[in-house]
Amino acid sequence: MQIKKEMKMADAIHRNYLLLPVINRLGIQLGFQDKTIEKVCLKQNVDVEFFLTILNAYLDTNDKSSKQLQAHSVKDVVSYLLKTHSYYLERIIPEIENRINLLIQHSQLNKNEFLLVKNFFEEYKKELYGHISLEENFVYPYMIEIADAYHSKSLSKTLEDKINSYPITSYEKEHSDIEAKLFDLKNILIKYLPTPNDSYIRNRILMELFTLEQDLNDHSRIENRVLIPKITQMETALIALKK
Amino acid sequence: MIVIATSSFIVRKGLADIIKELYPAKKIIGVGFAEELEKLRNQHTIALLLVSAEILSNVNLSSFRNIQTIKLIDFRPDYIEADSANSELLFLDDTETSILHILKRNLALMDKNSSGNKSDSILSDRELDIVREVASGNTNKEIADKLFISTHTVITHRKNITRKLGIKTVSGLTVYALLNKLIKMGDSL
Ligand SMILES: [Fe+2]
Ligand SMILES: [Fe+2]
Repeated sequence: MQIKKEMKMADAIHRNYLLLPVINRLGIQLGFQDKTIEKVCLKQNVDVEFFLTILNAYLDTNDKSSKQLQAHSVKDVVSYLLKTHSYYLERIIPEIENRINLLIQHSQLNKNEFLLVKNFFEEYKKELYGHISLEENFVYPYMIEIADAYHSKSLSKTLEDKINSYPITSYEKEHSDIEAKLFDLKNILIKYLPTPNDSYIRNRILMELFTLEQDLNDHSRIENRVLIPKITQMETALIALKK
Repeated sequence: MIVIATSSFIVRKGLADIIKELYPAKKIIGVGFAEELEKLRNQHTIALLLVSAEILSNVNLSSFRNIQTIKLIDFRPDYIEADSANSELLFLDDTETSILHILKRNLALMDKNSSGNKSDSILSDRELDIVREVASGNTNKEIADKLFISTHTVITHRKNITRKLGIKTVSGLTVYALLNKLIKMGDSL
């Protein structure tokens, strides 16, 4: 069942608590009493249609929700994605790091084992940062440039060259690489580190990782299934303009 | 793996054949020089080592202390000195019965010692070899050359390893190999 604007904002959270950071990124903070989604969005100056589409795309991963998102402007989608990036970098990653550091403090692992986990996470972090900075510095600005050109129906020579040499599809395969290390880290924590007396700290790390994974999947899905097809269409239309 | 280290080809071949018959499942490797043995020791877990006195005197003994060892002695001497706990003597001029007896007893002991490790890993011996090589930083091509198999076979093994372990990346496999003591710190990149 889809989330509708008549629904209470609080009920959306009760439906799936993972929506908590999602609504924050969209500009809604807690404390919304018993107001409906529509009311809350209106009050906070948030586009309710866009809000609903993002939430529904998060809950329901089928193609229909991607289609709905494609109806929204590239700028809106990109600005939402930028906020999820900063959520990863400023909140989730430091939090996981702190928890990983607890593994040595509570002597869950010996020094070598701890360093293995820590360095592995460090590598993952580097990959994630690299990926995000590639997107923020090149991919997203390019998408916005394409969208602007598409709407003004004018294609500059430089943009035409860019389309021909680095079309948006050339960034597509990047995503699988980012997921692999996260996947490995989960299994290392679940299966391969020695059995601790108490699994609590490891559980907490794992829960963070699972949550991050789900959020990243949603994020990549929006990039792969919403933005890339949309930009590809625009690229084709722009090139056709020249002919 | 079982390693037979002696410069005598005929002893290597003979022992390998006898052990293969007694215990077909385990990989057996023969080496003729101390350097080869040291190299193996650094890269693999040796479950049982059969080693001649002349090779043993040319290796760094301390790194072999924990390995279950059978010392190969050419002739039964008049006087035998007391030996360490996990090492035993095998006289090449001994009778068939007592040689078989010593080998069987050691193979059973090896099984018991390694059963802990063995049941922990769902990987085959060959897959374990591949994990070691990958974790030590070798490419598929290098692994293929080293283990005398095709690159295609290496890739198939790696797919199976990823499926079995739930580990996709080289760094992940390195962590796995270190945690399971398949390689030692410093062997990896
Ligand atoms: Fe992204
Ligand atoms: Fe991405």
